[in-house]
Amino acid sequence: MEEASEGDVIAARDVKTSTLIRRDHLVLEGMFIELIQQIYSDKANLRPGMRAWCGSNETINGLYITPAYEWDETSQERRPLIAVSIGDLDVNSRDISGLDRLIDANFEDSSEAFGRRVSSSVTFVHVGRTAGEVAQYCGTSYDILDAMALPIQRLLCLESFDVVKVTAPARRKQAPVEFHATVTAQFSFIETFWLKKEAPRLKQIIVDMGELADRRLAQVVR
Amino acid sequence: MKSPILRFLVNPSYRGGFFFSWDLTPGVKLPDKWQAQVESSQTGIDDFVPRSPVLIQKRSYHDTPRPVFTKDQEEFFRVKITTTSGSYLSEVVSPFASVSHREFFLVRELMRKEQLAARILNGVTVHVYKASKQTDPCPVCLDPVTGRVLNPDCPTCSGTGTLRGYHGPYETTGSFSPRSVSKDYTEDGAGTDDLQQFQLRLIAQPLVDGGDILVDLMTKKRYAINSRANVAEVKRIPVVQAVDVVEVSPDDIGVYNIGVD
Repeated sequence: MEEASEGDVIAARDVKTSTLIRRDHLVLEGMFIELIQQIYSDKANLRPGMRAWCGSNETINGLYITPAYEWDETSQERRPLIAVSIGDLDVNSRDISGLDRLIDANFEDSSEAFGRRVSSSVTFVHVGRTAGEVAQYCGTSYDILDAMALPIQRLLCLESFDVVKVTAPARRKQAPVEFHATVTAQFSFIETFWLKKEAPRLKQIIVDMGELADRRLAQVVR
Repeated sequence: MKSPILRFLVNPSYRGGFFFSWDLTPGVKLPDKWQAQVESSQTGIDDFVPRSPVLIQKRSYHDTPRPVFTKDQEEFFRVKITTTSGSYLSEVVSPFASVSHREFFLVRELMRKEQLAARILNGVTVHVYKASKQTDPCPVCLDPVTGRVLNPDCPTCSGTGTLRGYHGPYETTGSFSPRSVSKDYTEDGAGTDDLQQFQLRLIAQPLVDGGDILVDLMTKKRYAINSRANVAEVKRIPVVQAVDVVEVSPDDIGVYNIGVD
C-alpha cells in the first residue's frame, strides 16, 4: 500500500456540508424572501386592486419586500410592505442518529458524517395604511403558503413546512395611520456534513483462512 | 331683492335631532312655490350638502330621526331659499354654542390678530384638505360586506372610504414649531420609522381633525394629524387650535396626489 501524501490530507477544520452551504439565518432569509417575491410577482396570485412586487425598481409604486431590521434610508415608509423575519434556530440531533450525532463514517479516508435537525419559524409581517389593505395581503400570503406548503417543503428541501399562525390586523402607528398583520410558518430541515480528519488512516489487513480465503474480515489501509 | 332670510335658528337636540327655523324679512314678497332646504357643512366655508328634503314654502324643519354625531365640533348649518328669480343663503350657524354681538367681534378680532402674527413673524401659508365624512360610501374600493377600505390610494376616495374623498383646500396661515426627529427601526422589524414631528398653531377655521391633510405651501411637504387641541375658546367657540402633525413620507403617493389634478 502506498502511503498517503500530505496533499491527500484535508485539515479537520475544513468542513463542507453535503449541500456546500450551511442554512443559517442569512441563507434562510434569502430563501424565503425569494419565495415571497415569486408569489407576489405573479399577478394571477393577487386579488383585484393589489399591487405586485416592485422588483428591483423601487421607483415603481408597487409592493415592497424587505428583510427584517434592514435599515433603509431612502424607501423607509414604502407601503404596502412585507418584511421577512427568521426566528431562532433550534438545533438538535433527535431521531437522526445515535451517539454524537454521527450518522456515517468512512474509515478509508478517515471522514465522518453528522446529521442535525434544525427547526425554526419564518414570519411575514405585512404593513399597510388601512386594515383592509393589510388583511388582503395577509390573506393572500396565508392562502398561498398554506395551500402550497407541500410543494414549498419539497422545493426548499425541508422536512416540514406549515403555516401555524395568522394574526389579525392591528394598528402599529397613529399618524400616518398604519396596520400590520403577520403570517408565521414553522419549518424544519435536516442538515448533514462531512468532517474529514487529519489523522492516520486505518491499515488494511487481508486475512485468508482457507475456505474463507475470499472473505476479508477486516481491512486496514495505511 | 334684499335677502329674504331675516334669521336662521338652530335649536340643538342631540337626543331628538335638530330643529331648524327661519324667519323671512318683513316686507319681502317671495314668488309662489319658493323652496327651502337646510344644508350642513363640516367647515362652514363650503362643502355644504343637503340636510333636509326640499321644503315647499316651509319655515321650519325637524331633523328626525336622531342624527348620528361624533364629538367633533364640525357641524355648521344654513338654509337656502330658491325662487324663480334666484337662490338666497342664510348666515351660517353652528349649534354647539352661540355668542353675542360683542363676543362675535371679539372672536373675529382674535382670529385676525392670530393671522397677522403668523404672517409677520414665522407663519407660513397652509392648505387644509379635509377628509369628507358626509358623502356616500366609495363604490370602488370598499369591501362589500365589511365596508373596509381595501385601497388607500383609491383614485375615487383617496382612501377615505367616502365618495368625495378630500375637499378643500382651505387656505390659512400657521406657525410651525421646530422639527423633532426620531429615526429608528420599527418594533416589529418591518422597515424603518422616520418620525418628523411638529406642532402647528392655526386659527380654528376650519377645525382640523384626524384624517385631514395639511400642506405647507413653502416646502410643499404634507402632514398628517396626530392630535389636536383648542388653545383658545370664547364661550366654547374655538378660536385658535394647536395641532400635532407628522410629516408624511414622499413615498406616500396617495397623500401627495390629493388636490393635484
